[in-house]
Amino acid sequence: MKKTLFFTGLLLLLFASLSLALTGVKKRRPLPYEYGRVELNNFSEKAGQIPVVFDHWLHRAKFTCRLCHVDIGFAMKAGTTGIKAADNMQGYYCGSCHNDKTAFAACTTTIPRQNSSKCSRCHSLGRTAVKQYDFRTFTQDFPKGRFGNGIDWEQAEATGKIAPIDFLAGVSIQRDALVVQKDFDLIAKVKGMPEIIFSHKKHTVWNGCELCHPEIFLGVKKGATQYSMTEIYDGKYCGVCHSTVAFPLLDCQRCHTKQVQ
Amino acid sequence: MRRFFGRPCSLMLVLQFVCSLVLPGLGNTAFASDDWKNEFNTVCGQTQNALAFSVDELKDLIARCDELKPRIKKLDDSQATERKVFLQRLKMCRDFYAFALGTKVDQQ
Repeated sequence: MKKTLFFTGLLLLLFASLSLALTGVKKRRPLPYEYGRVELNNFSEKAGQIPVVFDHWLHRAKFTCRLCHVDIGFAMKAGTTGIKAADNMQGYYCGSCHNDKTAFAACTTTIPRQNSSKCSRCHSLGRTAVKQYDFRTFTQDFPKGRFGNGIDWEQAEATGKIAPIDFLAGVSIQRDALVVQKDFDLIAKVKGMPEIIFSHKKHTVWNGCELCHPEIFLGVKKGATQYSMTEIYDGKYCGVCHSTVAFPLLDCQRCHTKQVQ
Repeated sequence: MRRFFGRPCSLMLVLQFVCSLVLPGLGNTAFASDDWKNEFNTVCGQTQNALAFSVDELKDLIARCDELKPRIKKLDDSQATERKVFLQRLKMCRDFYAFALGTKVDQQ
């Protein structure tokens, strides 16, 4: 009797631990061409269309972050811009470039619904769309990175593989060049962890000023914004970009670069 | 009537009269619509220099942003997207000037 009770208890414990272990959801790490991908479905399905799949890798190779997120007005959080087909047709948002001049036209009324091959270049969630640019071919000569897209985008620009555009006629404002900002150190909270050398220059060249301040970083004075790695992993501060589009947080040594004394 | 329009000079006079009535109005409309955009470009085209501006200059830029906001809000529904885009851009620009101003004041 005691043996039966013991084995029943053991079995129950085993089932309980198994069921607890299975409830955790392990997120699949995106493939290089999927990293930074955004699905847009504010209005697509309501309008009888398949949601849009936006590839960040291609757009970041051609344009600065600032151009799209400041001048064109795309919000930093996926799905919060609320783009409608009519907006694109009027030359805003995707339509700023996808106007049949700079790039193929987006959401034009001249494309009949039956000719869905044009629509499906963007409205392609769950389908194998025929894209003009193939990730592997496009990036084959690019300097390699360890995570994310597997591309070192900073080196790609430094070596002339990409030259992101920062001005769009009719959209951007003609302005003076930004004064080069000095890089600075950020002291890590954990003892023994190498300090961060923050490349203000690189960040301002790609982002300008108003993309990060004050929405993401409230203080300009060193140490004014206190944050932890937990918050960054939650998608705040550096994590706004470095867990979505820019090299991911797994790549510790890209930021924690200063030699420990 | 045929005789009247048959003469080139008379036709020119009629056209001139019509133009004098219609074109100034069109001109004003175009000017009014460009007016806020020019002001937006002037005000928000200086964010890259914000940290070099004085407190008074920054306060002036913020005030100009605040004056622009109701003008953009007034755009009619046919310009709803333009209104949405420019209000967002204006917000980013104004917030950055306010941020730069806060930094300047803290430094003093």
